[in-house]
Amino acid sequence: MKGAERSLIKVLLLDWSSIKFAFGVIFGMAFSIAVILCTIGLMDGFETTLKQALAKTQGDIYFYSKNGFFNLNQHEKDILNSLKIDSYSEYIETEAFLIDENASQAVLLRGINLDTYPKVTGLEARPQLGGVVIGTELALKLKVSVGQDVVVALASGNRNFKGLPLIIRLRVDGIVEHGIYQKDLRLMYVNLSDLQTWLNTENKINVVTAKIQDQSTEAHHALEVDQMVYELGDRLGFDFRVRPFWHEFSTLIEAVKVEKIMIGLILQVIVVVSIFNVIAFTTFINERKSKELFLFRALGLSQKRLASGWFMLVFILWSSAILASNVFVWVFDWLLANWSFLHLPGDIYYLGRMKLNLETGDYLLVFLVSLIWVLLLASYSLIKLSRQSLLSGLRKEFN
Amino acid sequence: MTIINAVDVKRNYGDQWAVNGVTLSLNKGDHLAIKGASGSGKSTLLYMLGGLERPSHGAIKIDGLDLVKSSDQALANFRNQKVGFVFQFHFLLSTLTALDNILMPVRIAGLKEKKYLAVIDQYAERLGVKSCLKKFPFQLSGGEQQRISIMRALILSPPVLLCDEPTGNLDSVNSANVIDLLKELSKASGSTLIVVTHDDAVAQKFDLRMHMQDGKLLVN
Repeated sequence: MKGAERSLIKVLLLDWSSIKFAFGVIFGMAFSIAVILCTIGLMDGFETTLKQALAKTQGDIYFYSKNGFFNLNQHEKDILNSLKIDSYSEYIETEAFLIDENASQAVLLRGINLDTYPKVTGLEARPQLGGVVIGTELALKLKVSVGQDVVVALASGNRNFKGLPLIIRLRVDGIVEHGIYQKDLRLMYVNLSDLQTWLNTENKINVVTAKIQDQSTEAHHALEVDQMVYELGDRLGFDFRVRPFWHEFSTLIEAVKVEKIMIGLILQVIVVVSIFNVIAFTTFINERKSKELFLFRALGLSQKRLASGWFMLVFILWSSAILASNVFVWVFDWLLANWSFLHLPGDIYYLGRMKLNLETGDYLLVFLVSLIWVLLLASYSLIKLSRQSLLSGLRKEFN
Repeated sequence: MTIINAVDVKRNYGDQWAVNGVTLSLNKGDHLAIKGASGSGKSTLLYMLGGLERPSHGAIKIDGLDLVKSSDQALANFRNQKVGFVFQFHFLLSTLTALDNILMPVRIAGLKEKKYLAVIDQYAERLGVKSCLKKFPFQLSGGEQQRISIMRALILSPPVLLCDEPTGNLDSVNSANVIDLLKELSKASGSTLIVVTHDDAVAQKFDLRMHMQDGKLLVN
């Protein structure tokens, strides 16, 4: 920036009323930008956190047979090995009741392979024989900790009294957190061989979960998973149903996407309000400082350089607002993580805590759009100013 | 050597002719006073000669530059380096110090400030405003402000010095001092000086005097 432009900015900005006004504008613009970023971040964060949590319970993809329990035969294993599947794990999932002192709680009991399941899902659930691993919310509800016992009733399988449920006392071997309230409240893990014995299914299972070979970004990962669902479904044939990990919540995720667009549109109102502030500021500077602007021109500052100084001033405002908006976003993210007031009721929103998920593209989009708005408004003020002749400007301002 | 050559210059605002057919030719180093009542068109003529306003009709050539046909950029350069303006109300920028105000044409020209600091020192010494350089305009008296604005007009040694009622806000003693100063400084730098005034006493200090009436320039 040359000396004259620097002086121009100094002259335009450095007086108490201009500084106060500029701070107001910067704060308003920063707040608007931060609100938009936080909304996008919350929506994306909800989707991402939900997906991450789902992947933790389900791996990337899972499939089950239309005919119920099955054995994974060599043909199917060959198919899995021929595709870009990193690892897979077989398990049994069945409904059960957890019997408490006062009431029973419906749960999903999963019999898992201790070697493969943690590898596929990343969930450190390792129930030993006669043991169970439960979710955090369930542990909280039952007020149990590791080492204590819980009682589970399976709907069928009592070989001594046909028609009666099988009741088993299990030792709590661990407490895990999935990140989804419902999963933390309902999922219980037991050893696969235990469950196969109780259900008398021999070595059959009813679900296979798999992790795909993919090191790509989150957005791209979803595409890879989709592609794999299609390929695997095609190869396994009609007897199997292949699902992505988010299938259970796909309607909710779709709804969040639609909501994001709608809220984004509604939030334009906030942008408009902040734009009024920018208009007010440029008009204020234009009117209040036109004496100085005309004098600069009278002393030989060309229209082009005046414009560059003017845009520099607006750019300073915009970049200050950008910096401030980042601080607002950071503070909001911190509050989301630490402030109890912002805890979500998990039974309604599935997730107990939200976090912002903002990618570079989100920042660039919001910053760029705000810059375009600001530059357009600055151009408008500048055009208005340049239309006035130097002589009439000087006379109007100084006489 | 002719430095200012204006031929049949006219300027209208709607139906009104502020300047109506002025022809003027001045040599390098001439000192001219243009006297006239308020609204006679003298300031409009001055601003046209200074490249602040384009005429509706006629031709103006100053130091070889055709002001009518020049681009905005060329006119801006002309205002910066070929003309020095002294205005009635001083027109100093209130948020800058007196020194920064004086240096403004240097900054606009993109020249090195350091080179001009010695010149400023000399002028300030001569004009008795050395102690004012670091002060802001509101800390200066009217006479001091006017001397600072004269220094700003002269800092780049322009060939033409245009003064619009430079003594309008000063008492008679200060007025006489300022006019003497303008004449002396322009003589020293070889600048052509045009002073527009409604004050007869100011006009009387010039050998070359003209009178502006209804947009026409008449020789006294």
